[in-house]
Amino acid sequence: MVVIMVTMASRSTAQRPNGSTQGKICQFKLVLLGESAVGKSSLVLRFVKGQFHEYQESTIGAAFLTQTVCLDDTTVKFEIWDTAGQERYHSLAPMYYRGAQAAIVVYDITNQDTFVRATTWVKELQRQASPNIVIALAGNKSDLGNKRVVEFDEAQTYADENGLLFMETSAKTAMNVNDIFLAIAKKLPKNEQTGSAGTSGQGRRLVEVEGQKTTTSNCCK
Amino acid sequence: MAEGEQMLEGFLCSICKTDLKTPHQLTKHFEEYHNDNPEILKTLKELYGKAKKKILKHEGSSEELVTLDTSLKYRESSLDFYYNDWEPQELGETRSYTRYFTEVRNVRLERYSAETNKLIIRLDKLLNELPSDPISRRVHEQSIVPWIDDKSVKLCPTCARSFHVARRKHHCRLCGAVMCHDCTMFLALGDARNMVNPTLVQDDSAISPTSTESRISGRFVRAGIGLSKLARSPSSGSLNSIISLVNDPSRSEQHFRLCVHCEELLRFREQLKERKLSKPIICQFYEKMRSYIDEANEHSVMYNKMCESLRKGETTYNLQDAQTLRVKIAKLAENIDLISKRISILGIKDVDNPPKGQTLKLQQMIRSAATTFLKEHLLNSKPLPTEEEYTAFKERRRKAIEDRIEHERQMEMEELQRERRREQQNREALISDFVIVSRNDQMILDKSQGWGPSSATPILASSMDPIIEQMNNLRAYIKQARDAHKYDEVATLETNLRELQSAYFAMNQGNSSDS
Repeated sequence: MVVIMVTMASRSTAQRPNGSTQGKICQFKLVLLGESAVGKSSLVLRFVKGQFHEYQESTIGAAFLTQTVCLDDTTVKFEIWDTAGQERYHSLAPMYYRGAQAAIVVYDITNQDTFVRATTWVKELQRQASPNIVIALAGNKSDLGNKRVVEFDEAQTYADENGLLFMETSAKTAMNVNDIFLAIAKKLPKNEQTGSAGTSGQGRRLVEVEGQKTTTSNCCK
Repeated sequence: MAEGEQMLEGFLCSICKTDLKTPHQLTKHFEEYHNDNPEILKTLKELYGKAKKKILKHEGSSEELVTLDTSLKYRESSLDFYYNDWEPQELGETRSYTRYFTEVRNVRLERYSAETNKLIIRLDKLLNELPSDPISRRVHEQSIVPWIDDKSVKLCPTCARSFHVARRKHHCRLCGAVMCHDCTMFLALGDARNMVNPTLVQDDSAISPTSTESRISGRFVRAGIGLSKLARSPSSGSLNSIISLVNDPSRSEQHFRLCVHCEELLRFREQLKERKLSKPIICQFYEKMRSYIDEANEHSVMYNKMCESLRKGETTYNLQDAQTLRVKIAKLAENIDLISKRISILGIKDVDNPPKGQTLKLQQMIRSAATTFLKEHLLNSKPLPTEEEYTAFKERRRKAIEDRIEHERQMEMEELQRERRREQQNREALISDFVIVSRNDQMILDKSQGWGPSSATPILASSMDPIIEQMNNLRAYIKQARDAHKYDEVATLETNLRELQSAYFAMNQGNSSDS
């Protein structure tokens, strides 16, 4: 089992054959985690398509979306894995946060339990994800301020202690949605495209995948 | 400026006050017509001499007669100095273009805008709560636009023909004037509403620019167009128009009768509106072409990337996908070619008014730009490898990778051996570490070689498994991404699908070995 995890990690973070290095294009794998119904999919939908659905269907497995952001002279392409929050899909999550360069852990400011769940996600990420993963904490549904249970300061303090980016967002009003992705993009290292391949590979430098596709940490393409 | 009209300017003859345009002509004129007074001629010549000197002199040499040539040279040598040489100049005659503009504009305003606005306001009032009953409708119409007493009109003011039983008097509903039937038009109520309603400005027909002209004129129905219409229309044919109105109320609801003058103003307004809204056909073609070009650009970037990757023998992208994309690009290129060709010959067939000058030039430039684009970006794209070539590429790449792996492994061995020599004490631990690592490597190699994507299908039975669900998800995503020509996404998703499959396989194997 351990073996497989290692393989996947290095596979997914491996550098994509980009043809040529035209301009400066960075691809980042980003994963969304959090309790179900906190608004992960809504957050992504707002970021990717600028839409908001009052009745968002619950995600099955993990949805995949991409969005490109221009940051100064670099183009950052987010490959976003929007995981399902339901417990039965928990086993899928490692597959998506492993090798991810960034993660957004989402909670619902009107629900204390989701915040607690978010902290356990953060712990799991710190333990098992790549060490230099950029983690952002998002307190979603900030439009429902009158039903607030999780105080801003509480979350901010927690985020500071754990070195997380923190913002209160609202997919409904689009507040801070683009900002949080942008903040992540800024924090991500732009010089090397594969932020964590070397470290998650745990010392091994080579992995052969299906006999044809080989990925190395510092690639030769 | 104050006595502007009294003031004359130019090279005026001091005696007869005619303007002679140039000093030369003035002197000549003087010599010819006012020769009797040589004194004046002399002073005049002196005056010009002085003026000339003053103009051409340079600093401190006012006595010296400087020729035009030297002064010109002088000017070339030191422009600044030359300018300094001039005394500060008084402001000359000024002319206000604004005043001229407002004069011209006022005429237009009075003739068109004010008059047209009046008509539109009246039309709006007429349409507002228009009674369907013909008699009260007539009262309504007259309450808004007073009708001229028809007894006072002997001849039709437009065509100057006399009225009689066959040529009856009709009132324009917008200006109240009396006209004969031939000099009036009908404006359909629906069209009238469109004219008045500011929100209904743009309708579908504005998109097809060819019909603009005909459409506007089509709104106004020539009153005498057909006998049947003439007979049935409310206040025409029959002697007792009120009776006819009662007889045919549906008819009366559909039109307003307008005189040709009012109709002309309204039509002019509509045309202006139309012109403002509708884009010339060339713009529409061009926009279409631009969108094709943008799309083609996007695809060709992707295509080149895929092509390069394939030529290296990588499996990130699918050869079939690249082929589909190539076909797609070819189709776009065809469209661009077609549309640019159409732009270039736009209006050529129009014998009366063929495109010329800048228009023609623009059309040709668009065409040549499009062909250049096609040549540079689309036609030059590298061909894809054939299936056989691709297999060869893949093989070559695989070999290279194997060599590399071999090489790296050797390096690792050497490194290890070096370390082994260096750290004799830790030797055992290191070796065991290495053994584990290399064994892992081996296992992965075997596993991934033995399990391709297709081999996961038989396990689909337990569809309640989240991994299976997710795999189905991914397959759907891949299909979607492929349809959208998002091949990067296809590649990522396929990678993930493979991950899931191997994870699933490993899980199952783990379970079976446990049991």
